[in-house]
Amino acid sequence: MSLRNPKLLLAIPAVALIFVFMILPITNMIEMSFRTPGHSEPFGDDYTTMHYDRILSDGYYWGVLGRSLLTAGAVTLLCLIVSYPIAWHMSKAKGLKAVFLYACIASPLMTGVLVRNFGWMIAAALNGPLNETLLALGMIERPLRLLFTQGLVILALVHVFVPFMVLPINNALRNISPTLIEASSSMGATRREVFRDIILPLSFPGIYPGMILVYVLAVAAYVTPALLGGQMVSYMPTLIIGELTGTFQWPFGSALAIVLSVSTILVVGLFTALTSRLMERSKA
Amino acid sequence: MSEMTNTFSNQKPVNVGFGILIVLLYIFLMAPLVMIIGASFTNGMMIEFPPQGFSWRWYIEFFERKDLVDGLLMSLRIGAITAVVTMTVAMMAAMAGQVISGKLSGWFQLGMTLPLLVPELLTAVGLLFFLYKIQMAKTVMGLQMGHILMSFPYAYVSIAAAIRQVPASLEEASASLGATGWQTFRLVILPLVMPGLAMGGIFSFINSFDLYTISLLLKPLGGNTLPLALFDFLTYEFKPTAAAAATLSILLSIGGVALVQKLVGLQRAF
Amino acid sequence: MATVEVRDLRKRYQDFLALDGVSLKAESGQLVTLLGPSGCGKSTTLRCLAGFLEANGGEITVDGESILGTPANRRGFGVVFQNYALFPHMTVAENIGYGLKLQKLPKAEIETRVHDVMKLVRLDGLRDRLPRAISGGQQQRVALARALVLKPKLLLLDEPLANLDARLRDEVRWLIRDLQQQSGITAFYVTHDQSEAMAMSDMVAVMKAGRVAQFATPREIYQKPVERYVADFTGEANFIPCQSVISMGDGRYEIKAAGAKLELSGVPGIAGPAELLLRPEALELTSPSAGTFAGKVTKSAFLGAALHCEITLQDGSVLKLTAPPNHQVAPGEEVGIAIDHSHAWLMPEVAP
Repeated sequence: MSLRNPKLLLAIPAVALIFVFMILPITNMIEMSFRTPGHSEPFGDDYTTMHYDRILSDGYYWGVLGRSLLTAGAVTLLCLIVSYPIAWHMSKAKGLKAVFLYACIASPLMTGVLVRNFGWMIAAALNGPLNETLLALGMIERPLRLLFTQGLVILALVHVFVPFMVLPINNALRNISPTLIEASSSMGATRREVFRDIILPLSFPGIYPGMILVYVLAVAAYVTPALLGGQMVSYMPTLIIGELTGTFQWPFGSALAIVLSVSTILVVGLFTALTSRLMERSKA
Repeated sequence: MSEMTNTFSNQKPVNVGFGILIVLLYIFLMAPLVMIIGASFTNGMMIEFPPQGFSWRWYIEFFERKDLVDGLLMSLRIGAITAVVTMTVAMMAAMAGQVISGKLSGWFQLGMTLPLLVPELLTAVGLLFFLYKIQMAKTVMGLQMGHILMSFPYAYVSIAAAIRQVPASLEEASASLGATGWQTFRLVILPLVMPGLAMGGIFSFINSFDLYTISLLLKPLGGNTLPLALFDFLTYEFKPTAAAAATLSILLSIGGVALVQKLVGLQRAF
Repeated sequence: MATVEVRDLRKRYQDFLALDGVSLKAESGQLVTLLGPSGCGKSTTLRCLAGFLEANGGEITVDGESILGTPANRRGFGVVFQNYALFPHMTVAENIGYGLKLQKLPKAEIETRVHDVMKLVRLDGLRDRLPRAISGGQQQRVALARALVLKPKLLLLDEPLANLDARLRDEVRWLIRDLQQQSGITAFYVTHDQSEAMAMSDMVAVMKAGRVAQFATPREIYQKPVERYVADFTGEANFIPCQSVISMGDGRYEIKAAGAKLELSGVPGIAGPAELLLRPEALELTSPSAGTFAGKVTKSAFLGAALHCEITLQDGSVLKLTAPPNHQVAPGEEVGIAIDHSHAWLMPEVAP
């Protein structure tokens, strides 16, 4: 590799963009979280760890953090359960049918989160389709209040992130050679055993990035809890944005954001450590 | 010629059950979009699905609402600039990325997709402080930079994939025939990566059009993007006008999907 | 050990007839090779045997009982694939032991059987490696061990040597044949390589467009092919059209070809136009007056162990032959060609 290749200069604008408008600002945010609170300004001139002390010593913030992490975990698992059959079905499709299925995944993906959440507002109305369906199935006797519940937030987040999970799993499934399935069945494996022993482990290179991406994005999702979560329950992102835009407590908001990021990284690291053996073996 | 039939017994019942499950899952995926489109044509005063009757009145109402139309225009303008800038910058970066080899190449790819991997919330918060520091807080320019940053990876991924398909030997062949570097780029490389470049632009535009969190934090004085305007509208008014606005947004994304299918094929794009 | 019979097997893909009535029989302990170019239906036949494909018609029996209704995972056949189909996430030992694990055998028994079969195919010391960390030849032996460890009734091998380089191919070929004979397993072997087919098989089925062109021993296939297609596919061959053919009964004929009169054996019951088959090794260079045919050397090439010549006869047909390396021939020279009559063979132009 020659670092003198003049073509490398072409990367300068992109590197500058990412460095100046992303890496510097995020570093800046770490610094901000150690600033003292300001009075007329959003932040003060001195440094302190008081914001972290306050977050870590207050059960309220632990609760909100726990709720955010757990909700994202539930969203990730549900996403996996919903996405796997779709990805499986998609990986088998060819020709026009495949195009149609890809379009069904891509259209929601390319529609904004806000718009899709709005769709769930319509669905969850007191006399809306969700309640109607539940009534018709006899699962409930009178319409439920679905809007502004945690359940609806989770449902809408699953809907938002399903394409992020389907696409990598679909790719991983397409990479599994059909002869492996034939080989295992010739060795006596039933359909269930083929799935458990061959397909599931070999699709892990798709499951892993899908789960990580969904988890990271779900923990920090703001729009969905803000629109569908109501005022009763708080999540970290709504709390952070509230501190920044409502009360203008920038240092405290930054500290919250960093606590959230660090916890997310810990969860992701734990998951990676637990699955590293499987990943090592199943990667292509 | 590899079709599998009786590798396993007991195939039929499993297939029927699985088929029903798949249909339900696709209904789940498409339902919110279908409900919005349906609700936008209601003749009643409430956002509801199924709609009551049929009318275009909420679309007319949408175009009479100055706040929503201003938001739409602002989103379109920011999206267009975002698309053009990210296409150019990403094209250059992708060409540079090609001459990076080995381990460094992986890090470069990671760096270029960073805005996609780090939650929007963090980037938005960081940018809020940063713009304040460089005295660009609450300006359209600051918001524009945020959108360019967030949409850049989409353009980069599409364009880099297209450039990887161009064999390096073509460049050498072109040079051996006497073309200058610029001529080779314009006459050989550019036509070959055109579909990927266009696709990058579409993704970048649509991503910018849909961004919410970053727009909320970097909102310029007196300006709203369509998602911001729509959120406020949903919070305070909740009339079918919102469904009409959302339907326009859905149509845009369906148009984008169709264009991508035409340009490179969805299967290769995702 | 099992006798396997395939009768009138048919398979159709949309508008393509892949198998058009294939019939074969493998006696217990035999290795039967399906030989032919790609698209002739040899792999399709094998996949029907394995149960990966459902035939549209015909019958497959093992020891007289139909297996068509039995799904692949209950047939108890061992399959070795062209790309080996090793499970990439399992170690060598786990790959080999997978079938035994599915049978829920005790751990200790799995351990010993895996150990024994690994020794048999000379894989000792590789048990904890992943497939991607061993060589192609080793992967092929894992695939073989994985099939053999289950003591299958029938072993199916789909071009198992195609992905190996020439040196390894020889080694694994003998290994396969040895193991198959030692264990006495009936086996079907698919290949497009005639030398592989010749060297390994008890019986060879030469396939052509979804049918069996000839089903016989390797020697018969080579020396007594039923039609030109078979002769062509099984080795270097010269064909000379016959001017006249008189049957003398019992598969003996008197013919006239390229200006010579010959008496020789051939496919019984030839009625229409016929061709004379002369393998290069049945021909010998002599002086122009002494041979059965006379002609002119048009090409000669020294190949080390032999001299390859092309000779154009008076009627224009071209003969390829192999001469001893020290024989002196130069292009343009007039030569005679003597024929070993026991290696000449008469065939109809198209099989009846």
